[in-house]
Amino acid sequence: MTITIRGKQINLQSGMDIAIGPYLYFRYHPMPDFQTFAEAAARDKLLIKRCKRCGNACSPARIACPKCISCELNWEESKGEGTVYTFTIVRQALSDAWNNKIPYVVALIQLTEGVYMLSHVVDADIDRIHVGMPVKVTFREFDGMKLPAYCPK
Amino acid sequence: MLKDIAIVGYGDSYLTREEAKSGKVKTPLQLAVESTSNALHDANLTTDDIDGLLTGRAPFGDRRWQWNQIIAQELKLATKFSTEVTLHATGNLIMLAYAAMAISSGYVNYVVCVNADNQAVPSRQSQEANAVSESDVWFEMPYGTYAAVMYALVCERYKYEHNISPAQAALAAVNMRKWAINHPIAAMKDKGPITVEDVLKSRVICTPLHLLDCSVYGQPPGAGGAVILTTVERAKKLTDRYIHLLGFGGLNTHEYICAKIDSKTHQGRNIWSTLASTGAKEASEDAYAMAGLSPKDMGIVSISDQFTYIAMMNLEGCGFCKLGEAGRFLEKGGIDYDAGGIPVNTNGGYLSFGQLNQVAEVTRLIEVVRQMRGEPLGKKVDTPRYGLIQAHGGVESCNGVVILGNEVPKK
Repeated sequence: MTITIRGKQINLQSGMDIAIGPYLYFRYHPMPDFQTFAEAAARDKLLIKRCKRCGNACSPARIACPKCISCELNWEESKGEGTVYTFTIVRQALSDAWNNKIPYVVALIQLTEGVYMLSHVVDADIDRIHVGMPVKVTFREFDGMKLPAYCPK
Repeated sequence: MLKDIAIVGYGDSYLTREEAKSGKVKTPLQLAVESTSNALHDANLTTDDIDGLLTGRAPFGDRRWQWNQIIAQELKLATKFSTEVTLHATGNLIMLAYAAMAISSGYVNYVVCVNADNQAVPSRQSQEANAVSESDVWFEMPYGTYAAVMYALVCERYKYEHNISPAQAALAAVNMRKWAINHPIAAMKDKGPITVEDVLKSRVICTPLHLLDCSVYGQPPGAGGAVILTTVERAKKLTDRYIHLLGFGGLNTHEYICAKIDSKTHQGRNIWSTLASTGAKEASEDAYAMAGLSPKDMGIVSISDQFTYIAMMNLEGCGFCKLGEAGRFLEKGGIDYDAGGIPVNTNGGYLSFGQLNQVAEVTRLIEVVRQMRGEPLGKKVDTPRYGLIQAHGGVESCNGVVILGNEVPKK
């Protein structure tokens, strides 16, 4: 169960530390569920989770339902619709990898299922992006993986 | 019940820009040890007296695990109670509360609370690492997040919910700079005062944040600070210059930004209802209640000002104005000391003194302690009866408030 990021093969069950400087590192923690999420995104599907016990929808990263703490969560394909809860137009990059991409728009999307996802707003007139703007999911490449992004509905 | 607790001594140590330019080096461990040594001498204590040691998170400049043990060993301490407090920057403040609880139980007598850091890691890298430690590397980091980006998302939502104007936010930066130009160690001490226009003209980092809306990250080159806590009864035998720890409060709600919003309540509190909130509200409410004081009693204040909008949210959370009202509060000179406003972040805060990696919170704590003792390094305020320090860290994840006093309020 591995995934390749930044040219390195990371085992999703054990995680890995990747050095980014003399004293600092990115810690890729164990996250087997990311494999399911990324594989679905590669097939243009946005997955969230839903609690079997109480029916609450939650983030695909969750291990337990935030409402009732049941650990029985089922994968569910999201309708892929929501609004921009907040956003920022990034005009200064901190890494060389992102220098070529500025300006880019990072946003917190509130899906209709009540789940909040961090992502990008793409294919939009940057000056017209606003809190409350309706969006729908699309899929783009990030860090070499096909992942969800959101475009104006 | 909390016993009467006091700060019986404090110590600090710095590596100034001038020293760093001349090639001088100070490791975080050196700064931590120097600070504690100064605090012990200030308190008329020896290492024999110390039986507890707390630190905030291990510094960027020395990331060994068991940071508290590294310091204790260097000081030749034997502790009964010791840990690294893992609550982001808040750990550096709320460790005072944890020390108070341990002392109050009777288990330990004297607890050192200390931390330090330096500029060993380039600011850009430490910001990137910061983002990673505060973003989900799988679900968030692929989108090019870094610390300011995460905070920008919070600031934009706060701006939206309460109709804050960039000019209002800029006033926070303007006021912090006024203090910094009088502080010998502040990063911006030689840069002169700034105007609202200066802030709004500075380049955009990520909306709504201009450069001057953001803290000076990774400055000064080195800093350390330590306080020693004990009971008031013991403090009286050592010095007449002790400071009362009157109240504290904390609230920790999440780690990654997506988990900050939820419809769930906790003990009847709506703590996850919006991104545009800090736990300063709940933390300060608990602290005021414990101390038997209110915002108007505070003669000095220090709030987390990683960004101007965040400073506003924390001023609101700590009750210096109503929620959503910080814009008008700043416009009316609420924190303009020359105009009769509250002295806030009298060393210049993160916005103009600097925010040095993992010791940042400690520099603000030390500034308040120094002002309460009447011996600040920079411009002095009228010696306060009571002071409030608020901290938060992560993406608004962990929050803490501590209230200090030069006297005890009458019940």
